[in-house]
Amino acid sequence: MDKSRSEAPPSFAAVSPRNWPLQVSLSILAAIALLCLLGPLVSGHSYDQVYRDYVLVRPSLSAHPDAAEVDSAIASIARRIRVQITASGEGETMRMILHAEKPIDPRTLRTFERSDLFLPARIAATGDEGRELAIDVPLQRTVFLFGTDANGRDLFTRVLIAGRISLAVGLLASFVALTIGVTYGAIAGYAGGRVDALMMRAVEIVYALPFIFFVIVLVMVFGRHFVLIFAAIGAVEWLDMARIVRGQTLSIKQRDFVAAAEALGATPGAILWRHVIPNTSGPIIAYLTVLVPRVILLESFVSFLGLGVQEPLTSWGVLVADGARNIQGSIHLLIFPALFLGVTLAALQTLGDGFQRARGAGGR
Amino acid sequence: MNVSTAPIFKLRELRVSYGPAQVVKGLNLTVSRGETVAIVGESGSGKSQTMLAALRLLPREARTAGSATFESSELLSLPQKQLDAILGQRIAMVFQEPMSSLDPLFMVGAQIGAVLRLKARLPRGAARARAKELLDLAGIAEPERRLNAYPHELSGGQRQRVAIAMAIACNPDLLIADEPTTALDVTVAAKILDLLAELKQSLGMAMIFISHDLGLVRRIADRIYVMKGGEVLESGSPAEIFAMSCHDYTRMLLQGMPRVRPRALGDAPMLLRAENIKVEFRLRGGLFGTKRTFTAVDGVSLSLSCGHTLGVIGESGSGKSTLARALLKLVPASGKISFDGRDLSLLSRAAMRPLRRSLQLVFQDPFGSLSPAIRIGDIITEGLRIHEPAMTRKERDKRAAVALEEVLLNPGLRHRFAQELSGGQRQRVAIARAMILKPRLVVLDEPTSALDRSVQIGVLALLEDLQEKHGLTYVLISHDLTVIRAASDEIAVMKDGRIVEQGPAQEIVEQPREPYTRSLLAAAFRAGEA
Amino acid sequence: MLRFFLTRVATAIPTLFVIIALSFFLMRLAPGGPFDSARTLDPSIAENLRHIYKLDRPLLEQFFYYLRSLADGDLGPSLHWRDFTVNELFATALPISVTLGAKAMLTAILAGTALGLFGAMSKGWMGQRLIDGASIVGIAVPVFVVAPLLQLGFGLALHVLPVGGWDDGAWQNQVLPVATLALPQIAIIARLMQAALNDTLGKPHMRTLRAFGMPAYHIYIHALRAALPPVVSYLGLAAANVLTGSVIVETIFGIPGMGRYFVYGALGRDYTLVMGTVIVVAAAVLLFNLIVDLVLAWLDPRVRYEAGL
Repeated sequence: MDKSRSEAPPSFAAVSPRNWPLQVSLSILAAIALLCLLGPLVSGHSYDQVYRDYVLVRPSLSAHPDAAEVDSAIASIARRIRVQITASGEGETMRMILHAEKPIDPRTLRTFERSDLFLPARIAATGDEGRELAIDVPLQRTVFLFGTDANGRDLFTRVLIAGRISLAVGLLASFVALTIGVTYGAIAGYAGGRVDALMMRAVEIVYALPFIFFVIVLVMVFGRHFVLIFAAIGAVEWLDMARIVRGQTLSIKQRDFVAAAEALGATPGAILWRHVIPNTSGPIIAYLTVLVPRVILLESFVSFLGLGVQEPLTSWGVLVADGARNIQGSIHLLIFPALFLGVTLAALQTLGDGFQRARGAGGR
Repeated sequence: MNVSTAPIFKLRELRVSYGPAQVVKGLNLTVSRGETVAIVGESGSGKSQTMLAALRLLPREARTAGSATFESSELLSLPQKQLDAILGQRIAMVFQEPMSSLDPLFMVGAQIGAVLRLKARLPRGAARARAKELLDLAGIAEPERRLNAYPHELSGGQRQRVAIAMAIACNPDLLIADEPTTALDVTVAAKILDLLAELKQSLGMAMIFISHDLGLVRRIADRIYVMKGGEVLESGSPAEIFAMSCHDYTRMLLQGMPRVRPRALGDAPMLLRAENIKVEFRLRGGLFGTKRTFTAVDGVSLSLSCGHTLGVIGESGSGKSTLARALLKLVPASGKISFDGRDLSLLSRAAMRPLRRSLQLVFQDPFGSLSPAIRIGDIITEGLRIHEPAMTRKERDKRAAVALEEVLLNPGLRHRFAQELSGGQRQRVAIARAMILKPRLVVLDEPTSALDRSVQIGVLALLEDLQEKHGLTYVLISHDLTVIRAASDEIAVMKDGRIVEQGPAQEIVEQPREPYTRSLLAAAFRAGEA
Repeated sequence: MLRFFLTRVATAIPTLFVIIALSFFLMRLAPGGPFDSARTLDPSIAENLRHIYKLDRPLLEQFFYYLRSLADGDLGPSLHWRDFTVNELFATALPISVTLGAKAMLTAILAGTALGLFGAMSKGWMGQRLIDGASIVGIAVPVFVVAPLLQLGFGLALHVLPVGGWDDGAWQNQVLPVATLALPQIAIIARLMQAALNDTLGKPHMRTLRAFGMPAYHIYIHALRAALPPVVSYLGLAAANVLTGSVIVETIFGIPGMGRYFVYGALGRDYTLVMGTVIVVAAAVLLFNLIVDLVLAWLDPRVRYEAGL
């Protein structure tokens, strides 16, 4: 018997002006998503393009090559085509004078093209019966915002491409877990009794084993496949969702409006669809914001161990693993992907908080 | 009643606001030593907020202004330490919900003992002995044993006694009781009132008694303040208020229920007949435990004629709600139920479904019986979706508007959500939901218990109108005698799953035969419900 | 209490059995066997090996044989490190992992509770925000990022702690792995504790305590007591998370614990080793959850009441 007539003071959390965690985290996530989707198209590099001359380059805003790089490149080219080169000039084009014992074959000038630092050379003047060549070599300007990795690939593009994979996995796997979990949990909770006990027993069994062991066993059995991640994640993550939905269903089942629907003659299916599930939407959405970062994290765990996404495709986990290995010389390889991963996870977490705040204040 | 004229508690121009909303608007109140002052008002009147504000127990968002003095200290500006010294020792409070005022994780004796140790500075042994004394004083049987009990092991009445024992532990000068009996059954409430009166006398305390029920405080208050909308409407001695009040609002509060309208009831055919209904629940015994059963309804038989209202009265735990659901086959029960000649007990779930439109149920809790996730219009027309699937959305919408008008609500409300409506409005929606299918029998499970008195009157009037218009038959279930009396043609009294006595309403109320019925009526009278 | 305990144990046993059976048959389904390595063996030797390890018998028979030896506490021989039985390998590895895990959990519980309490008690906004923010960072930064950073910072830059290795349990070698494992759990527990405390402090019976002018420390003791259940509930999951993390931490820090054996075993198709790990881990998780349930029941007298204790 509910006889509480005490006056509740008006709830003012609902009125608080800007739910800033919600807005900030949404903007951050939108920015990252946009960046990952469109960034690679405009970054000027492809994610698997190898620059043999730019291995483990540091991140910088200014364009390569710089003076030191030009000098060493010229020196190595000189050695290779066996000439002496005197270079001069600033700006975009270098004027070089080549000296050799024998006449210089113009075809050797293609070495410049093949280098990542230069564009094709133009012959300006010839002298000494071909033993002296004056050429103009324009510099090829490239920017590596985040630097390059051990293979000479642009890290910026790779981080963004990795973002696509990590985010996609996160969203897709979460969606699968959502669908399975909600259905399973709602049925178990509503059916109650033996059915519920049996279904929950199954959940407990799978629950007893931490995720990573599951994945490794699967890898052992089926080898390394990208699809495996989905399977493993899906197999484990729907459990929590099922538990939550089941718990919610159990308590909603007791509510009067469910009894009212039964009294009206609604079928159990209709009750589940019209009454139970809409009223669990709050906790479901709240849990989703916890689930997506977990999934992304799990995927990166697996990739870190080398069991997930395979080359040349990459995910943040793979990049971080690479970075961890090169931590002494090129810390930028660790910092950038870790930063993106961390910020995304943090933003998702904050989004969940903001969501809770908005929902919890607005009533049940 | 020794009332010395020295005031010990004074409120002057007390204001409480939450942002722009003012819940208490300039309140003045005086309590003298040994005096009992009652503050009466409905929910939203600000009566509880006043007291909480004076003791600085409101949440951070609240702004308090004005003056609250106890003896010579200004409570609102006292340093926290000094305020803490007064609270619990000189001023004590008893709250409405005994379950929530006691910590469920600690033993009762430990909680009282904590007050004694930390406030009265008694050593552990003495505190325990004193706690036992206090439990005894508060009327708890076997106090020694109860010291080690947890709150959930006690009944509502017992818990309230414990809360009272805690409050009087340090012999306070002023006891503030915020709706102490509202959450209790009528017979228990009467006893608690007696206890409070007794303690007040023997300890010489002053008391502030907050309630929504004017009749209740009539017997115990020296002075009454009537509050509405954050302000005091009028104040005076009970005699003054009851005899000479000129405010409409106060008169409305005093009036209670409209008296029974004598209805000309001819002989009507039998609509519902229940024989030997039994409902048993199996309690969890676990894998290794014995299976225990709890019998909620134990062999109930009743019959109801067309157009009549059967009132079922009982206290909490009597099984009346379970009976309501059993009659509608919402819980599994044994026994025979025949409705309009058909034997319901033989029907399967599927066969029962089309019949359901004739048997409807209105619930007690307007907050829980409407789904928060769908709009009012959809809530009301759910029955149509099930039983008249051929109807289009538009047609359903029109019927929803009509249904809302019939229960005297604005048809535009059908686009809103339940949270946006008041308790009374929601209950009307629940009624509309039941009525839209044009049922023959409606079971009303405590339809007005969660509502204020003023709202109750409106809802009951609506129900009566609908009954006349559509020739409905009602089973009205309640613990509230005034409601039952006002609305029933026949009354059945339930206790512990059985019907103790039943018969025509007039007879039951004026000449009860069974001792339980008599104690029920007596308690209701004492607690001001009659 | 006893009945409750027995019920829970009774349901745990079939769970363990199903896990064993599932893993067993799952692994046997894998293409390839434990003896397919880079060097191809002489067929007769391979045949012999299979016979010795009973891999040529029907699956079901292998299963029963395995169960029988399990009942004797024998986890079988390692197929990869053929001079050792799994029991022998675990004898050294298990205590190491247990030590690390236990220390990590303890650190997490103590530090997390302290931080959560701090956050809830701080009057102004700053304290709460600080804990909120710090915990987000703690959760968001994965174990395999924290580990190398710590190695870099404390090991290579400051030279105060060793970068890896176990060194027979020297305390210096334990600091970084334990810290890495504990960090995310500290963050989560701090959050949970803070939220639970805030929730409890708003409850009506807290208001009663204040209405009685009880001192602040008394109120916080009550609040803490009431806030324990959600945190304790999480501990079961925390243990599983620490186990997960230990696989990675042991790999990065080069610690000869269960996690590392597990990874090697999986990559080398060492059935018995992997089975052994799965069984031990599952049993540990089940045991821990059982303890958590018991503690929860003990904490809340209402649960005890309902469970018929």
